[in-house]
Amino acid sequence: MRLFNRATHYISGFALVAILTMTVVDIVGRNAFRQPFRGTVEMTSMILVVVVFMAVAHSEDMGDHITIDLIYERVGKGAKVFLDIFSDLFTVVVMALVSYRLYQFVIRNQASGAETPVLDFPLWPFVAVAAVGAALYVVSTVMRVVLRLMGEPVNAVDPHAPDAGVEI
Amino acid sequence: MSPEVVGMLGMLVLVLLLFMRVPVAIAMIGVGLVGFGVIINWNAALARLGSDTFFAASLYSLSVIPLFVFMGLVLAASALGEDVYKAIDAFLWRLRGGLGVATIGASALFGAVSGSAVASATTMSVVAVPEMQRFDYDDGFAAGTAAVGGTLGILIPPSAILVLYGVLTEEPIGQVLIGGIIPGILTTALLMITAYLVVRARPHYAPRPAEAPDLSKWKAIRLIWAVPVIFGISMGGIYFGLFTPTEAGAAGAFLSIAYGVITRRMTWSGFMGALSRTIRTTAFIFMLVIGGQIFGFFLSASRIPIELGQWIETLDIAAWIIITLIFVVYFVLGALMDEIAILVIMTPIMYPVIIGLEYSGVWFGVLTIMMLLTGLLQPPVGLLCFVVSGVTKIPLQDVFRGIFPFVGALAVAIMLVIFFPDLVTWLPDLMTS
Repeated sequence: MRLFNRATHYISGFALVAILTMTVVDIVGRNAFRQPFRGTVEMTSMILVVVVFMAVAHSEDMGDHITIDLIYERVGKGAKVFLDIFSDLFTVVVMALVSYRLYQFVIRNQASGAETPVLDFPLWPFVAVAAVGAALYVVSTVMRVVLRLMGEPVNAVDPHAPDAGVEI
Repeated sequence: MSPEVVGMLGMLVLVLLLFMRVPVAIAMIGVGLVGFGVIINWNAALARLGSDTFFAASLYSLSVIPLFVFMGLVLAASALGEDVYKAIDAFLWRLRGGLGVATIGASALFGAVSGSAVASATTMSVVAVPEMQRFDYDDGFAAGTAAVGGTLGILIPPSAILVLYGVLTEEPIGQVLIGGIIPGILTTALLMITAYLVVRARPHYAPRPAEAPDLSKWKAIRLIWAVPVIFGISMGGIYFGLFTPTEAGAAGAFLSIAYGVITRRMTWSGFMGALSRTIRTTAFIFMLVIGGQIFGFFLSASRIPIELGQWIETLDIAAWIIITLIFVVYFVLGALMDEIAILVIMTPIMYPVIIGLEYSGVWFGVLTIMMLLTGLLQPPVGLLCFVVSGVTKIPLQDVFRGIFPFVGALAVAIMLVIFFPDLVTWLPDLMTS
């Protein structure tokens, strides 16, 4: 599962490179050849959904999502286990609901045939990517709970950064 | 129950969930959903959950965030930070405590092509701190300059956090970014002067002069040609209205990759590492944006920001006192919470108050970021101090001691921006006129 999430996060990386390339081609085309890359803005928006939702599960595996540890660091081991499991279960409920509502939004968009304004791309496949991404987040968090109950370490090891968290 | 009471309860539950270590974004989505359901109705709340999530993740204006983050990480992977430090050092080494002053200057210059505080602080911890230790500088002072230098990465555009503020408030992102330039320069100058004065007051912090570097001033300037080129094209493009912020981000990221490839400094694994970390950062920032939007809709429905604004107007207190009180609130929160979380939670509450006081939203954006910078340094959770301590192995309490005078300098910079709002608004106003 974690390998799968890592793989999807590379899809996300590929999508970001696609946005970058498309935008640069648009800038150069527009200024040098008076030939803009049509629909860059809307494609950027849609691909952005891929970037975000293909990465949220991996981000969860790595323990990136911001938490406030002020109390957590000052309580005993038993309380820590309780807080861990409580926050994981809360996450599961919220993200499962988000994923389900995104799925409903897919159906609505399929029915109405909603499209992007310039290129007339159907909207629903992109919403579907978001629904799948949110579902992967849920599965990852459920796995975390299982790992915790088995007493295994929960955060995956980051091959790129041995000593620091994410960037801000 | 009146909407205001639901709003207050919602905020209480949010704080409770945060302290129970529920991820900030998830807690905001949960509380926002339930609160909106109670105040308006459940069907509307559930229907919005899917569409709001999708539309928040597909906001074109947000696409600049991963591009700015990527740009900074690619340049860090190409070891540009080292060059910048060497170049500044070539000018300042003669000065008493010059290596410390140079660390701050180099951080500012690196910040002009990178939007990441952590990348900047890490680079300086690796490059500048050992150099200062070689000349017997005080450990705390050396670490302090590296940590406080990191804050400049966020204030000086490009800055992902400034963009985040622009998106949350619907202020023009280009103007918010350009607004960070002068306060960035001002803060850099204040911090450099502070480093110099600290060494004057405590000569044993920098007991002996550094040696002349084997780099002439002319060569030093040539070493860092990439900084003005990348900053000029990306931020200049925004300033002159040639680029949207996203295009500036894409151009900057593209030039950064080109720099890494041409100078042959960026390896494939360096590139993939930068990409991977960019994606992870993007994922958690966007989750916060989604949480922020859903929580924001609930807050507006509760009418709390409007009521708060009206109440403050009836108080008949000078506006600067109110702003200073807000600074105090952010300062205290900074000791308790992560800075991005404060930004996402507090902005929807404070922004209407500021606009009610007839201040500029662009100005408050830059001021907010400056207020959050102090939180990146404060004990017990100051992120940058942990980063520097982690990399240099200098004990955390020494780092906290070292940053103390610099937090004072940051406070002075903040007060200057409060009393002279033109420091922020002058450049963005020129853009529009």
